[in-house]
Parts: sequence; structure tokens; C-alpha cells
Amino acid sequence: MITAAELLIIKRYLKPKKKEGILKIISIFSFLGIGLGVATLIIVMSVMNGFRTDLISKLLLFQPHILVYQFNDFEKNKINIQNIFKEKKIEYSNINLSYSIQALVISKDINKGSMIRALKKESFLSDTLINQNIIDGSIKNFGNNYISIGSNLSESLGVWVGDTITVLSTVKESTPFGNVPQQYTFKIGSIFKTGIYEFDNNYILLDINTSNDFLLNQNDNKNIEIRLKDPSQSNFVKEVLQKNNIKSFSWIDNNKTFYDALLVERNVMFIILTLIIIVAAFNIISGLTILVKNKTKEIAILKTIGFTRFGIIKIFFITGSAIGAAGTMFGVILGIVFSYNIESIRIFLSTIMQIEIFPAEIYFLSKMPSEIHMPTILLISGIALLITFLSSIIPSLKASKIDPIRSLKYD
Amino acid sequence: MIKNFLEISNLSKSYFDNGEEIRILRNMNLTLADNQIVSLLGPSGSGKSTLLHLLSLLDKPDSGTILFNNENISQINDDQRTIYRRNSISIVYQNNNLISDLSALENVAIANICKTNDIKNAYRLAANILKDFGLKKRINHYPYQLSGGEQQRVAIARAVINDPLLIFADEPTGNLDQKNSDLILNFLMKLKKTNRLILIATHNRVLADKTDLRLTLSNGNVNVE
Repeated sequence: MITAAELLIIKRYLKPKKKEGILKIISIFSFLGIGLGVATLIIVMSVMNGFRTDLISKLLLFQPHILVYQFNDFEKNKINIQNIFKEKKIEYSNINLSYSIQALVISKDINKGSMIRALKKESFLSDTLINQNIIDGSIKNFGNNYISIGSNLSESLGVWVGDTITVLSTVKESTPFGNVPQQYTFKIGSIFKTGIYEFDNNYILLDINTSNDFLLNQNDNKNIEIRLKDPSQSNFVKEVLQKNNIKSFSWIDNNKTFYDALLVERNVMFIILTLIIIVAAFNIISGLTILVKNKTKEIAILKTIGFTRFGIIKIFFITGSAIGAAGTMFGVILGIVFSYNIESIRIFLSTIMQIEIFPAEIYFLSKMPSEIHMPTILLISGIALLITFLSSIIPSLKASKIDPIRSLKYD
Repeated sequence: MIKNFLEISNLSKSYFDNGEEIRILRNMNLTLADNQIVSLLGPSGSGKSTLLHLLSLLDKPDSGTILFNNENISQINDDQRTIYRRNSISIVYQNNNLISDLSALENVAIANICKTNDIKNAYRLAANILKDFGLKKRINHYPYQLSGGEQQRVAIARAVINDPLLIFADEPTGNLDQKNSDLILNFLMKLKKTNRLILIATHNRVLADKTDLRLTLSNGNVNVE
């Protein structure tokens, strides 16, 4: 508890006199340093959260949340999964059959290994990642031997809408010359460009119902795709299915390297930016140390009139912490306001500086993403406060150890 | 009158300077009654300030006892010493008595706020005392806006706000001219009352001659003149 006498001294130390200009400057720099550090951390974390959400949502537009493999009868398994979901109250959007087949694609003289994904025409038409990113041809040209192909893959193969490609299946056909891979030809109906390199560079999409010949004997590559209402439940749902002897993996398993990289990047960025706050906190230490040095005689007087050692610690600890807390609050407000308006700020800065700060064609995002995550803000505030509290302790202890006799006699 | 208001028995205090022991006080014995102003004379280094620091509980003796109202206060712990100083002891120094961030009113009130935690009453008391000390127009002035004599008057005002039983003054007029010295002494004289002892360490013989009792410190011991 702070006594009225301690509070009176704290108030005066927080508002130094004109002749103590250096203390005022250090206080202002401590306040601004902590505030800008916290704001920077919040802004960077918000943008990274925004990027992460955007990337993952794009990824999930193309990928199922859960993929079930090694099964025989699709309909039987679908009913089984639906029953499990009903029992566990798991909400899902759809459960579909699909194929993911590695194959060699040949066009003129160019060969390229690719991933062929066979899916229902309805799934293809409703896939927003695809239907919003068709750059050539028509989305309706799907099925009846018409396929959709990634933009980078089409460029590599030198094929465009209307051209034909040959696909060599891994399934072998017996001929008088021995076993040879089966060959199928498809016409390119559309080209998509999602902005996700892996998809644009490797994927060919075809209709599951009109490519039956190609999909014959492809049981090993048959999957059940499950889309959940909440993709973050994927690992939990996978565990539920595995407990029911349904072999499956989640989108997180499928993108483990990518997912872990995002997480590591985020954590490293957090640690690096926390250093800004630590550096700013040194201002508090130096400011308080100068304050203690300047006020040595006055601390001695306070001790002679009955201030306790703990009371002196409180005065300097609260003075330092108040600067840190105010700086943290300022930083949180600045960070949130900046994060909410980051797109307007980007446009403003781009206009003023005549440079494109966030080129859409590089990031495939029409605007700068930003997602404010309250637990992260609370964590940042907590860390900033902890750092300022720790910074205030050392000068406060030093102040409390001042010997009134020595200070009043010799200083 | 309480004859043994403050009783010192076999009080000793030494300091070490470059490994050499300097014995400041040697088995000092002294008994003082209340309701008087006592001056403590002696050359520099004779131990006047050391004795005041021991009596005001800012320092601890090597041996011996200090009995105040028959209570041994030389053996109490640091927290008890702080409470004793807050409630019963006031100290006035030669200079550097005031807190530069506080006005004259606040400088006086702070001692009472520290004791009672009652800001309103402390300011009222402080304003009254400063008025009595002729500083009514200076209550909102900061120390740097006050003359040396005014600063000492504010310091004495702070020393009496908690109605202490013991007031110690270490060369209170050391930095003042004769006119201001007389003024300060007159104020100190007015503070004499029952259940209070005022002890002034000084070089000033004129000031000492006006006190009720003169003590001289030499060779680590005290003599009554």
C-alpha cells in the first residue's frame, strides 16, 4: 500500500522541475521507448497473424481439413464418419471422395512430374481459391476430358487453354512389349493462379466422374476429403477418427514444415522485438539512477523524518514502473490503432513516398493483412510491464540503502 | 520536570579510517531533564554530530545505552527506530534540510503526513505553524525561492509539526548571519516546554550562552559547564 506521503513524493518525481531538464528528457525517452517498442511488437505480430491467417485460409481452400486413406467402400466409410461426428458433436461442411495421383505429364517435348487431383465437379466449381483465380479459359470447361491446370505448370509445359497434354499413369498395362504405363490425353479447359507456389507449379485438377478410366486401379490413391466448420479442430478430429480405426491425417500434418516455419518465424520475431523493449527499459534504469543520485540528500532527509526503507523502495519503484506502465499503455493504444488502420497507412505512405510498399502481385493479397489477437496483446503488455518492473528494482534498492548520516554530512 | 528524561550510560562509538580506529565517544555518561534547551559545544571532530546521530537513532553505538523516559532505545531494531524518529524525534541540520521538489507548506506537512497519513490536517497544521514562524506569504514558495534564514525556519517548523519529545539541531545557525542566527535561536527558544528536550550542537558561543545548559565535548566525553 502506498502512503499519502510516498504518493506526494512520487507525483513530484514524475513531474521534474525545469532545472532538472535532463530527468524530464530521460523520462520522456523512457516513456516513448517503451511505448514504441510495445507498439512495434503489436503491429508486427498483428501483420504476421494476418499473413498467417491469410496463408492458412488459402491453403485450406485448396486442401481438405482431414484426409482419410486406405479404405475400401467410400459410402460405408462416409456413413461411419458421419455417425462418429454426430456422436462427438463435430460440425463439418462436406465429406467427398477424391484421388491424389502422382503422374508424369507430357506435352510436345517437355515432361514434368505433377500431382493430379481428381474431385467432384461441384467441389471444383465451389472452390473459391480456384474459381476466383482462373486466369485463362472458363471454369465451366471442366469434366468431359477437360481439366484445369496450374499457371506455372502450364508455362513449364508450354501449353495453354485448348491444348492437349498426355498423362502417364503409374498403373502398368500388359502389352506384347512388356508392362508399359497407361497413357491418357486431356484437354486444358482453364488455367488457375492461386499465388501458392506449390499449387500453381504442380497441380492438375480433373473431374472424378468423367475420368473413370484413368482412375481405374488407383485405389491406393483414393481419399476421403473432410471439410470441418472449424479447421482448428483438425488434429482433434484426426485423433477421434484414428481411435475408431480410420486412418487419416490433418492439414496440419500435411503442411507440418510450413506450419512449424510460421510458428518459429513468429516466435523468433517476438523475441527479437522484445529486445526493443529491453533496450528501452535501460532508459528507465539510467533515468532512475540519475534521479537517485540527484536526490541523495533528500532521500536522507526523508529517512530522518521517518520514511522507512521499504517506503523509499516504493517511491522509486513506482516512479519507474509508472513511466513503464504509461509507456506500455501508450504502446498498446498506438499498436492497436496502427494495426486496425494499417491498410490506410500503407496507402498514405505509398502515396507520399511514391513507392509500392506492399506489391499485390508479389504477395497475392489485395491489401495488407492485419489481425489483432487479444491474448498476444496481453502477453506483450505483461512482458513490457515485467521488464519495466525489473528495471525499476535495482535503482530503488540503491536508493533505500542510502546512509542519511553520510549523505547529509559529506554530499 | 522529569530529571532523567534522557539518560546516556557508558556510550562509546569508534570509526575506522584506513584501518586505524578513531574513538569518538568514550564511555560517555550524561543525564538530561526535559523542558530545557541544551547546547553542545566542542571543536570540530569532537563528536558533536556523532552524539546527535546516536541520540536521533540514525546510528548505533558500539556499546552503552540510551534511556529515553526510562526506555532503552539503543537496542531497538531499524523499523522501531524509524517509527521513533517519525513520532518522537526531530532533527534540524546546518543546511540541506528541505526537499527541493516540495513547497514550504509541503516540506513542513510531509513529516505529519508521514506520521498520520492525513493530508488535509497536515496542511492545516503546517499553514498555522508557518504563519507563527512569519512565513505566511512564503508557504507556496519552493526552497530555492527562500533565503537561508527562511529555509531554516521552514526546517524548524517541520521539526515541531509532530510535537516531538526530542529536537536535535546540528549547527542550525552555521550558515546564517548574526541577524538570522538570532532569529532562529529565538524560534528554538520558543519551542521549550515540558516533556521536551532541545539539544543544539554548535560552535557559536553567543548562541550557547543563551541556552539553559552548556555541555562541552572533549576527549570523547562530556562536561557540564
